[in-house]
Amino acid sequence: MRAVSVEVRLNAPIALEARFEIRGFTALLGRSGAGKTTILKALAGLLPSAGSPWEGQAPEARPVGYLPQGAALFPHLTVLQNAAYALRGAGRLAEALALLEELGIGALAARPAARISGGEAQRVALARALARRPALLLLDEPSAALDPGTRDQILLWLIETIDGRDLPALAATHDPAVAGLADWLVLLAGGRIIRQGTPREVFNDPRTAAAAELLGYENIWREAGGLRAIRAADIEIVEAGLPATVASVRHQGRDLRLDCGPLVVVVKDGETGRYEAGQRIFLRFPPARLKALAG
Amino acid sequence: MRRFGSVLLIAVLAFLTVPLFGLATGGDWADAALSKADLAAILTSLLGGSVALLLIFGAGTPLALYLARGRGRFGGVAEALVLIPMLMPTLAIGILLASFYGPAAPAGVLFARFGVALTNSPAAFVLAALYAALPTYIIAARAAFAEVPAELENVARTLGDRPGRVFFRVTLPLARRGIAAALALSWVRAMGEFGIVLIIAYYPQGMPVRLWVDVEDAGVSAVFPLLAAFLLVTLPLPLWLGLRSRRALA
Repeated sequence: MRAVSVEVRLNAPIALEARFEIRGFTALLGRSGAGKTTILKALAGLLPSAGSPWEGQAPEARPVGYLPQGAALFPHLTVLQNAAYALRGAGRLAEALALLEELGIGALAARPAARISGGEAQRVALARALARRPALLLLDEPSAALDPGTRDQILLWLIETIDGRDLPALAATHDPAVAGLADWLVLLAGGRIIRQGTPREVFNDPRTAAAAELLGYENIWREAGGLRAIRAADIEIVEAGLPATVASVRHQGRDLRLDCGPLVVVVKDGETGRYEAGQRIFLRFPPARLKALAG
Repeated sequence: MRRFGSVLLIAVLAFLTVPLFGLATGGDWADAALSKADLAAILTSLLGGSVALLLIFGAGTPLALYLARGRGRFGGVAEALVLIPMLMPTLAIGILLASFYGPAAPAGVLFARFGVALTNSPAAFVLAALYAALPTYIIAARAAFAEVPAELENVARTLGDRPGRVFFRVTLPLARRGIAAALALSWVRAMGEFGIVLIIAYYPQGMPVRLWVDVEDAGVSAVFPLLAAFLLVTLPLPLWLGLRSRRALA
């Protein structure tokens, strides 16, 4: 798996200093407004910044493929013309068509780019970026424009296609589910990188409260030994344990979500009627799921 | 209440359309013909307007793009400078231009040294059209460019295009309808300009001045052939382009 070390330093639009590795399909996880898009644009040369590689080079000189949020196909061109945009010379359309066919979307070639679905647009945007043979792909919120039904399928297709070409890629996302699918995970908070590692490592051991929040830990609290975190779905309800009072009960899809004062508990496939507001229950934190955080 | 609304709507639309009926009812069409001077005026307007339109497109487009994209400190000042000539009464502009470009004024003397007279000459006619129509074009073209998402230009750059190439491959094609409407609007301004022309380009006579002279000499009913030609070159194309760009936005 090819890796790239990058560094981005800038003061506007936000102050940011980020140094991290991109290994295979890498997710850059951060809240909205944390500067994920800013890092992508800085790496593409679209914002003035210091760092490496390619410091001071114009966007057109950088070997970077950029897929903005919502794919941003050229709406006045066909799918084929979009895919061929970066190519020059007589054979450019044939080359672009071959690429579209390789990605399984040759049938779309003649369609106007303004009239295809979000998932199709994502694939065409990938073809358009790949045509230039970049050394690094940058994807901004690749799941944002996708329908829930096809989201994971298209994301997995993107990741597998990119990994299949042994091409490093950096995908900005605020969605822990996307981060979980990546080969490498980088967490951004407070204008710097707070953690990087494989998703398994990082999800299992968030280490800091900021990381635990980004990774979707619903429960973070301070006790005598320091900060602790646990996912709402990892808390067990038992006959005897830590006493708690149910404040409210809500459906969460097929599950039940119990609000118990400072703690949130999700009961998988929980049946309504078993729990009600004011009820006293007992909780257990499985030791392997309870995380100790620094600070 | 609703009926009152419809009546008011129709009344306002009728009020706005009434002038067109004058074309059919008012003129003396029996021996309708265009005089030699009328034909010369049409030619002057069309040629002068075309030259002005080319200059307007060439000089106004980069500034419109800058105003649409630029977030610099200079942007607000530039916009005010564009708006000033657009908001000034045209007669006032004409008088000010005469005192700036006139034969005795420094700028007039300078241009005269290169053999260009900027009053009562074809160059003066183009100059008047520029002052009348350039601000209108810039403001309208800026709105057209602002509609083009900057993200598409960003993508084009990461695909290997320099900014100039991005403009011709992405920005201009995507703004084309708005730019066409902006050109049409400035064409109408240039064709119809009377106040500035009256002061600095009475000769060569374009259509508005010729119409004014004809009305003075022969009365309103005698000028209908030239009036029809005047409306023909100013109205249909801009109307069509304007409606088309409205539809494109919707």
